[in-house]
Amino acid sequence: MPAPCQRVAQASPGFGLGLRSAHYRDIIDHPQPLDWLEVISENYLVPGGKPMAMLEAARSRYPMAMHGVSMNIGAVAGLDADYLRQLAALARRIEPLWVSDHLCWTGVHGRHLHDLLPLPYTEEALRIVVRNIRQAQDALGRRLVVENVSSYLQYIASDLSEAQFLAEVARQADCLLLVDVNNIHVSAVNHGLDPLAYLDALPADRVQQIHLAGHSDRGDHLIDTHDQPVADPVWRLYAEAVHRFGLVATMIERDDHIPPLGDLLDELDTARDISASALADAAYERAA
Amino acid sequence: MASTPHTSLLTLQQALQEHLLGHPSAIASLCSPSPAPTIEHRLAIYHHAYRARLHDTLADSYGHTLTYLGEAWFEREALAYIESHESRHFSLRWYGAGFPSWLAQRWPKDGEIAELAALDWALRSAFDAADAPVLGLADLARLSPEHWDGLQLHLAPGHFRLEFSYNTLALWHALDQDETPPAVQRLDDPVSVLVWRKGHSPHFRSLGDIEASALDGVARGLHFAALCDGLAQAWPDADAATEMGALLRRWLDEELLTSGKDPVARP
Repeated sequence: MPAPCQRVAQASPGFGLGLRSAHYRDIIDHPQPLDWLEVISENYLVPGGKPMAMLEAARSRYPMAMHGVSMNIGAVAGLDADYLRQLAALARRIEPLWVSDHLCWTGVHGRHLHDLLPLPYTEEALRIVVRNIRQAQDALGRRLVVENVSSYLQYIASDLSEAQFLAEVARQADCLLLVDVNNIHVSAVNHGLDPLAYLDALPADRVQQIHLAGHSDRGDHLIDTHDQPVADPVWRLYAEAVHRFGLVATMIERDDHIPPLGDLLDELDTARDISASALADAAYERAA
Repeated sequence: MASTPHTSLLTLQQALQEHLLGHPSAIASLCSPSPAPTIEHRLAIYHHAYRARLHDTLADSYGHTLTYLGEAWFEREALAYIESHESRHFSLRWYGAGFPSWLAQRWPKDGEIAELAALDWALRSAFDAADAPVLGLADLARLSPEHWDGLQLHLAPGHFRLEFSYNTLALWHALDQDETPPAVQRLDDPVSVLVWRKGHSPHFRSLGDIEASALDGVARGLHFAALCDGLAQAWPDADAATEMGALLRRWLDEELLTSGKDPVARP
């Protein structure tokens, strides 16, 4: 595990949750055991009204990270300048800890498919993704944090593994990584890959954040549904991630069947416990 | 299309996009062979997710329309809309903008469906419309008497006007209370409806003729004196100044006006 001074990523602010409208009042009216919040950027790229008021109120109480779903980092034609302008304006307004989006593409020729579609892991795609991340970083005036997506198919054209591709993206674009542990598990099951080899291939010093979430088991494959608690294999993989990456900002994503806030806070306590235990194990191994 | 390791990124993206949009595509030949699930099944996951996400977006935007039609009918309408409407905005927020007019064309003899949808959309649009400082009674109290004739009122950004030919408002209220909607009735005369936001909450109500005319005048930028003159000419039996005073007080109470622009027109 690298010493803190060697990390490219910022120091961890701790453990957070995604801000969802169902929890606005709980989070704004009462102090909660949360270190930070993550917001879906697009939910607040609206003119005004209650969403913006709740965002401002929550921001006044907690540090906040912006997490986008529409940057289309794999766009051959480059990023949408209007989207970047709106995203940068939102970032100026709420001064987030960091801004993240996904290693994926979301549409071509002006269409928006509203899904996080997998890229082929080729030299051409690498050039395009690195160019686009640099464009985003120039517009935002900060390093972008890039997340691995879950996927259900792979392309014949790929000549790198996803983890190799992501590591090379981070190095060439000088960006940071959001490691979605659930997505690694889902994709590993769906494609018969080794999730530990995936973690091993990532540059630990660039891991800014970890996502945890639930998925649905469909027998011969998993679907990344974010509609239930974090599964046991994902908790085990989280421990492996912390063992490799050290103390990393961790949050739980829940987007459907949203439970009472207390349930998610309990789940976050599990993340704290697993993280502390993994860090202790890593320290013991270093000492030994 | 050859499935070679040199397939370009754009070729792959176009092929998968065509598949998701329901068009013929060679994407299956570009995907790595796999044991179960099959490539066809894997592609179907994305094909289904695209439609499910847009359907859920429409269901979220058009809650009362969904309740009125029922889930099965609404789903048929949503899926038909999805097949004929590609998303052109990065945000799902705007995907349903064309749904009311599309329903109006699809169900010309059941006009209340499109009217319910238009009301759902206007309420959603009021909900997250731009913020603007509210014009209050104290703002007007500071005006000296000579400025009243030149007073120009400005409607807040989150206001919308609709015109209904059916008893759509009664339908909406019944649906909102989980009651059985009344029988659909075509109105003798269309009713003008105002949608706006007070605080964080969208509201709507029907407008009488005088208020509808006055609001039209405000929207056209008429000064206060011209608004009063217009009412006096259109309704000679009414006390125009009193009517305008009552309307103005109501609009202030309802936070319908903004002080964001200079309320006094300069010569």
